[in-house]
Amino acid sequence: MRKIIFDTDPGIDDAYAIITAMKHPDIKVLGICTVAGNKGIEFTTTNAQKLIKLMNYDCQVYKGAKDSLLKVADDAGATHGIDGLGGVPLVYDKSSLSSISAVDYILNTVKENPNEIEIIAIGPVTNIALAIRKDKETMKKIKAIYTMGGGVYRGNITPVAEFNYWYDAQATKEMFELGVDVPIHMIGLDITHKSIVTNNDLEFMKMTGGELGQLLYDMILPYVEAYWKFSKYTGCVIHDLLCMIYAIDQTVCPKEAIYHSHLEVSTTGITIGQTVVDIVDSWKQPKNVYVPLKVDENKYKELFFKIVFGEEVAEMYRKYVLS
Amino acid sequence: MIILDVDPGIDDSLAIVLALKSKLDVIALTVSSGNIEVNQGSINAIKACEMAKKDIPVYKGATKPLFKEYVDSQDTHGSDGLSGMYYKVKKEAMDGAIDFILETIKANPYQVTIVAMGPLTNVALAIQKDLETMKQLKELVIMGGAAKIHGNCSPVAEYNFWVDPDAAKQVFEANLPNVTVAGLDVTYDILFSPNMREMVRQFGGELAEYVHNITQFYVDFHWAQERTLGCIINDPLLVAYMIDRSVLEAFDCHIDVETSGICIGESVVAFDIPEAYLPLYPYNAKMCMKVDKTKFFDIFFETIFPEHIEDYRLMKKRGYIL
Repeated sequence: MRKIIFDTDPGIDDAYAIITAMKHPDIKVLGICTVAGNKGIEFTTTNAQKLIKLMNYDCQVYKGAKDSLLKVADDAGATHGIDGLGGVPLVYDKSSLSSISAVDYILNTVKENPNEIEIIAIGPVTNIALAIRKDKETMKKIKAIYTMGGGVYRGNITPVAEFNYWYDAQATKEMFELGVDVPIHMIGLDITHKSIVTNNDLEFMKMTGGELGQLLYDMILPYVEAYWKFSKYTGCVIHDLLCMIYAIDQTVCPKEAIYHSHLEVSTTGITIGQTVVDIVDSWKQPKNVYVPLKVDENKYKELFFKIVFGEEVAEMYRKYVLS
Repeated sequence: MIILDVDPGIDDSLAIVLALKSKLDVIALTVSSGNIEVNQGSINAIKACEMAKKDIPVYKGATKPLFKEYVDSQDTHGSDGLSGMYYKVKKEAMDGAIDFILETIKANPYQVTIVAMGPLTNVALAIQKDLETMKQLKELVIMGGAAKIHGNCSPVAEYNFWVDPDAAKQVFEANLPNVTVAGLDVTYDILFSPNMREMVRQFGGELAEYVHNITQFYVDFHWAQERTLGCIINDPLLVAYMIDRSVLEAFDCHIDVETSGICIGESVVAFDIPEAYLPLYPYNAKMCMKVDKTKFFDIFFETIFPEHIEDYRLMKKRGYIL
């Protein structure tokens, strides 16, 4: 059983990732740490609680950083709807919120399970940086970090920076300094934008996915609106879901296109939040990141349908949507 | 009317030869410190004119970048900027590149095109001195930057912008009409291979020998540095584009240049800007993202070595080149 902690700012694409992990038979989600990003901390925290209730899952939420280390913005605006989960009606239990902070929860859990904990970091990485500042030696005992953010050749919030890392460039820089000791896999925009979930896929999910399929469909509508408005996509990019699927099965990205490289983060100027990835190793610096640059988008989506809705739905997806 | 702004430099020298052997109306060369400092660069520029058998004026401009400490590229181009050939030339360059540029535009409004193949220091200085006149350029074509590909001075920065990022930034902020940029996204494809070099050597003659000799160091560098077999000749691509626009395809964009931090010299390029952001980030240039490599080499070889067109086509047909 893989032991996972989410560090997240739900967020529609976060919700897809978290639900997928909760549905996976070999994964135990130990806890969900929240952070401000897509929405403010109160929203992202209750949203995480709502997901626990929705999935009737046994874990708690640990509230994390309200502000980024290097503040540049409040949230991601209307991209994720008014509440961060597309406005779908969901309830939550107050008891699912722990009194322990995100940083302490991460450190305690890693101490109790050295070299076993994998962190799925799909929001700004403020909590991780704060945990490193508090106790770096413990953080070195994380098994791996899978982080959604950055990009080698593109950004989204600016031409060169991706939202999560731009939202807290300083924290991102500090997280990657851990990358020489802990394997950090960066799922960046280069591949998330090569795996667009189209309206064909979403419609199929709604028709075959039962109640959960309908809910996930309803949830993502404002997100699809935003992608049409800003990028003219018929569909959307569910960034965090790709990060989760990659964490589950790295073969969604061809091995030869996973670069083990040196990465630095710009924390100043017009490039703030940009990941500078030395793909061609011109700097000859220690390698601190694994960056996949290619993705098998069909395999990715098929895996999602299989994990969340079962083999039968995945089979129909292959038969009626992919072929 | 074309002014070539250069820092020769191996690929600049090839670009000068290509331009002067073509039908383009090149009226002068202006030189700045870049690949090599401006005095040696001017000698190299004059040598390229001599090789093309054209006597046109050469003006010296900026000796160093606006603010950043000057870093040449002797490691790439050799100690004299031309693979260590240290050519002797028959005349001297004049001073006053910036004034020459401005006077020429004033006398010929909307008729002058600058093809800038080095750092943008000279262009930025001209803008600083007289923006209104610079706005009367017909066109500004720039070699520099990298939009969606890795750089050559850092993972994100290309040499010409990196060596004088402040100049590059000022040029784009000036919002001149008709600015086209060809950076590493398209020039990485322009590989002058050992087969091509040997073909040129076999052509024989003074010019062929020159092209062969000045590219030796460049080939060695590319192999040692990045295991590229052959050398990338960035600058002639812009001249080929002036000869035949279909060589490159350019797209509207907003370009800004990072002037500090680890991304210094990076061209930050935004395409397809949503309408709501256009007032803040207006399209201020076109960036070339597609290149017709075969068309480039056709123009390059057939213009520089018109007497050897048959051999060139035969080598192409037999698959030794391209």
